[in-house]
Amino acid sequence: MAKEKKINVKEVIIVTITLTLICLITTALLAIVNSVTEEPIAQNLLVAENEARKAVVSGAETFEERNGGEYYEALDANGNIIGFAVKTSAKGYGGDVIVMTGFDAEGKILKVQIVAADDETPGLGANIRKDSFLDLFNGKSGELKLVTLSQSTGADNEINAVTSATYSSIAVVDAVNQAREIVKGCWEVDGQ
Amino acid sequence: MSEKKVSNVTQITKGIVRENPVLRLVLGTCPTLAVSTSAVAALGMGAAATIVLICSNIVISALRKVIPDKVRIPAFITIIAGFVTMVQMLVKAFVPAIDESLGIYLPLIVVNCIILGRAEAFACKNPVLASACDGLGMGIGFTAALFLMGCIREFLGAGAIFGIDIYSTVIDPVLIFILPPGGFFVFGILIALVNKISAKKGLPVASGTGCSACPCRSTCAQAKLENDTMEVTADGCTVKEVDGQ
Amino acid sequence: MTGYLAIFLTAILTENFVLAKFLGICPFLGVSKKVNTAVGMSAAVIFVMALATAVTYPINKYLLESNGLGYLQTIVFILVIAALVQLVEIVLKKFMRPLYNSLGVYLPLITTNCAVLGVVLLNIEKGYTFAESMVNSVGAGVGFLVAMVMFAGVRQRLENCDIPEMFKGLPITLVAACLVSLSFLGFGGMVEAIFA
Repeated sequence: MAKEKKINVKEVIIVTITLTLICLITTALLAIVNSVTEEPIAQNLLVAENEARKAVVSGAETFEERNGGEYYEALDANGNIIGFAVKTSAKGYGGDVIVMTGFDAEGKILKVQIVAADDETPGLGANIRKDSFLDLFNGKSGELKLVTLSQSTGADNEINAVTSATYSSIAVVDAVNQAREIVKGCWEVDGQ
Repeated sequence: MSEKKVSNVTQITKGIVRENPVLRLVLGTCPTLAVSTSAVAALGMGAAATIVLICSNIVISALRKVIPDKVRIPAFITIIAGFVTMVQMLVKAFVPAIDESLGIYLPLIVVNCIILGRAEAFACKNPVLASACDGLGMGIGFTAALFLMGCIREFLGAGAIFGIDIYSTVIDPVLIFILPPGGFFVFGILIALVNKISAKKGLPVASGTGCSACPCRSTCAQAKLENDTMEVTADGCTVKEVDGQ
Repeated sequence: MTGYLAIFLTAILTENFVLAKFLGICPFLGVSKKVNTAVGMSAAVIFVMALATAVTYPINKYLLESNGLGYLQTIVFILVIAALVQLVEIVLKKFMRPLYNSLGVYLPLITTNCAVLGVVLLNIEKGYTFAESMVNSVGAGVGFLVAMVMFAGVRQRLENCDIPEMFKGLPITLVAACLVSLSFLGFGGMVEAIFA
């Protein structure tokens, strides 16, 4: 141990230079790979977003960004507004549940899709991804309320929770209600 | 190393069975437990780790005479982190589905002890080709073990394999297997089985927590701690001593 | 305030790093034979996690992201954490001897611990602010402590048990970990229920 106390200047310089070089080369290589992959990654995100919007408003040709991306107007081939797509999120069982909701021009829900629910328990909370739950939203309008099977009264604005996944189900209903709040203005003005 | 010359084929095969990094050396437990909820995620993780392992083994082996011994660990970490980031970017760009299923565990390949372990135990002492073969073998061994775990957990826990439903419409699958406790359980049972087979063949069983077999034990003080508690002397590994004690 | 408390409790109970996210399994299995080593190790983890977050958050925000260098995150963070741990070790050794004596041995083993890198990356992925990141990191560290201490207790009991030959050592440890993890599943939804 005592021998190492004396610092060998030449060794320190060599060590520093080697490490610096390794870091520099690695970073340079990363920059090159990044320049190649940057565009496909951004493209993937755009495509995924667009796919999700298309999935909730079927028949839409293009989407028009409104309010800085808060919601999207769905246009058909002739440029008529046929609906709206809104992405919202709410706190689920584990983390955030991100939901894409599609409305038609009168404010009826066309379709609801889960964009991301990574932290929901597989097999329980993650069942909110199933169509048997998401289809419950189709055609609904107005503020929705989540009920468990025993609380169900059969009212029109009720959504039955997924069994043993109440928190995840609440998150979806919350997110859909938020989405309605965002685009509500669109059809209330149009309807009058 | 009794035999002087080990063929490259042996370098590959030893990683798959005899020295399987997960089941025999018990390395890389974190990703093994975390991403083995489905067969597909397990394969994705295995492939990503294998690529990083081969590349870093090759580069480290090629640079083994250039890298000063004193700073070899930071140098290795830089090289490994570089490859991990590259793989991460490529996966994001070209197979985004895998990126989604691996999430944070993809960048965490950096701290996967199999990779640093092989760099330290093998690549920095052996020529390039042998290191590449070692990386490939270890990578395949890691992938195979992960895939096995993934299949078992997905089959029992979700009633499916590769996402294709098998029986879940008839019988409810045992959900717990794809939840965290199931990971510990399946891994424990697998290790027990491997131990039994090893014992029959007269091979040493996977010990304690893997640290005694861990090639990073010279750099990781955990080995020392463990040896302290077990009162077994470390075989010459240099761990920082708390001096003055 | 409730927001911070929710993050803190979530990090300890529902999203426990070891038992739900499988980060830091090596020390969890390795250093949990005795309660006092488990506590020492966990204290070092809490310390390093908080420190790493405090350092990497500004680096990410003001150096990397503002220059479009987000892709360098992994490599920069791991090097910063490694350097930081070394530095802390030297400083502690020189100026804070009592603290060094209790934490010193554990510090080098967390340099390449996936829990530390994991918490730093998760903070960024979840888009936490600086204060939220710090709370989450300390919470994750405390969660690690809780898991370690509980598990050390379980393991001490296991020592006197008659275990089948093939399960001796690691397998029975893993099965025990399975049961501890199972008990943590019970916390699920609790945090949301408190703050809903």
